[in-house]
Amino acid sequence: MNEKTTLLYVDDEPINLKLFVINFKNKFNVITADSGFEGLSILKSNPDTNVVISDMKMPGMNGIEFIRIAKKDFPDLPFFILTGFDITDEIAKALQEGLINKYFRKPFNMHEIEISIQEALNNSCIE
Amino acid sequence: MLKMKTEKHTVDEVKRQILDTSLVVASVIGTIAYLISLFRWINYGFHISFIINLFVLGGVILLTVFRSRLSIYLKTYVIIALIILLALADSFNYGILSAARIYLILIPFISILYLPFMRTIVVYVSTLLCFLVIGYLHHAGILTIPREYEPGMYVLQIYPWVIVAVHISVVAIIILLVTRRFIGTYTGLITNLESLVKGRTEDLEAAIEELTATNEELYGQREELETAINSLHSTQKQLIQSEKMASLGVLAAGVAHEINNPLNFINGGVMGLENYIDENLKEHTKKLEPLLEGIQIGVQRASEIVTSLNHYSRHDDLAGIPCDIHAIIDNCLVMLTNQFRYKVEVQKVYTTKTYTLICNEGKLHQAILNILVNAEQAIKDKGTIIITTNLVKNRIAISITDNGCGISQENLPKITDPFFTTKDPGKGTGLGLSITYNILQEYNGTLEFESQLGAGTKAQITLPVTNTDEP
Repeated sequence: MNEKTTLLYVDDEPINLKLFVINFKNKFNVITADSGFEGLSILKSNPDTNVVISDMKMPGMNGIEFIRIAKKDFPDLPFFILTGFDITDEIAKALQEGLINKYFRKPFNMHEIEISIQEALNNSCIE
Repeated sequence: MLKMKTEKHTVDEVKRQILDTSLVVASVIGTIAYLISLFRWINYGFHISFIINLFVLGGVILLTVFRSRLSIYLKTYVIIALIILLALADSFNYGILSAARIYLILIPFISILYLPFMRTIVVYVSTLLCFLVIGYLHHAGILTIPREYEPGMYVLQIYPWVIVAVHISVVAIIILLVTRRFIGTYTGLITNLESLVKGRTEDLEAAIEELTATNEELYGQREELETAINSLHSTQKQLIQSEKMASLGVLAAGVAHEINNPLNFINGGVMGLENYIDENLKEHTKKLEPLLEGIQIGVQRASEIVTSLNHYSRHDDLAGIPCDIHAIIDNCLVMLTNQFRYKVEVQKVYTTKTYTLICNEGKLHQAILNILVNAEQAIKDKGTIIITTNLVKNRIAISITDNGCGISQENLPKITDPFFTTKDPGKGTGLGLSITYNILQEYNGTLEFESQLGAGTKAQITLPVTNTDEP
């Protein structure tokens, strides 16, 4: 873990993307996408991405739909949902299936996100 | 009973009355006639006919006295016999000048009332033959009439006997036929009427039975309807509440998302600012910190309200696990230690019965915490909160009773409505009990309040349980 962790953040709100980058730029190498479609193409062009966090409600493709497709190509990559909603059936199901490691609530708690990412990365290293 | 009495007003009853009335009349007039006849005894001396007449009169009087105890046939035969005896004996003694011969007319009249037609004819014809035989005996001189009657030529002829027999027979036969016809018609009418009445009575009874059955059915239907209306009323109440909750749920989900995103902007912005100040404007930290803190607290509070709103939008996402209700209550009390200290004395009466309660521990915790917080807030200075648990018919009943300020009857139905609060603006969201209500409903529980202003409030929760050790 000498190198900075590369984190892909997907959200359709530009302000969220901007703020996320500002807040996490010291800890992670943050790359962003404003939709699930863009997220998929960025993942392909950045295969060294270590972790993915996605918004839930986005036009065209929601967070879980995006992760479901991405997980096929990157089965070992840890995925997270950051949502303004409380838990929904769809998120609960994704958690159960192991599709996502965890879901975070907006407004986000930096500390919680950092710790969860750390845990996920440690686990994948052990594996 | 009434029916039996009506049936006695039959032809037989009328016949009996005729006979009895005739007996009374015969007794009275017969006695008078006998007393008058005694004058002859004074004028002409004793005759055997006085004995016979007295015997007949005695018989009639005896029949009259015992008329209600004797059978109608016995009375009929006896009276016919007495008439025959009187008429024939009189003819025997006084010949064609006999006064009592007129009574022969009565034989067919009385006989037809009570005896069959043929027997009547036989009795009458035999009597008439006897009468004619007596006439022949007088004519032949074998019998003699008393001297004082001065029997002349005509009186001793057989011819007047036949004339008398024919005249008596004409009258007797007319009376016989008329009476017979009357009886026949009357009997027919009565029988007709009786069967008509019987038919009508049966019809009426059937109608009454039918009406009674219909009435019972109607009563049953009314009861059913009342039950249906009651259940409709309660269903309607539940529906209104569900409708409120459902629309609130849709609203809450939208509002939560729309508010959480801007909150995220603020939150992210503040964090960014904090970092920037930390790195570049260290000397300003002291002055800027309270401002940033204020923003953060604002975001946190807004976020908490939005989070609590989310309880309306989701329902079955969290599967239940066996919960220990007593541990949950105790845990809530630990959380409230600070608020309760020096203010609230808690009394716990927990059931020792065993059962399994399937619920979501976190949600149940929240539901009970809300009620406990309300109970504490109802207590102004110092007070008591009594918590009891009990097992009632496959449900665990949890009651939380405080001796605080109480809730007015006007407000009582509204306390589980979302956003209903009596607290000052900013002090309470009005969502606590509404959320409690929602959580309990999700697990098929109930929530009821009893309250008296100034005396306190009792909150009663019930939740379904299994594996109870109750029989």
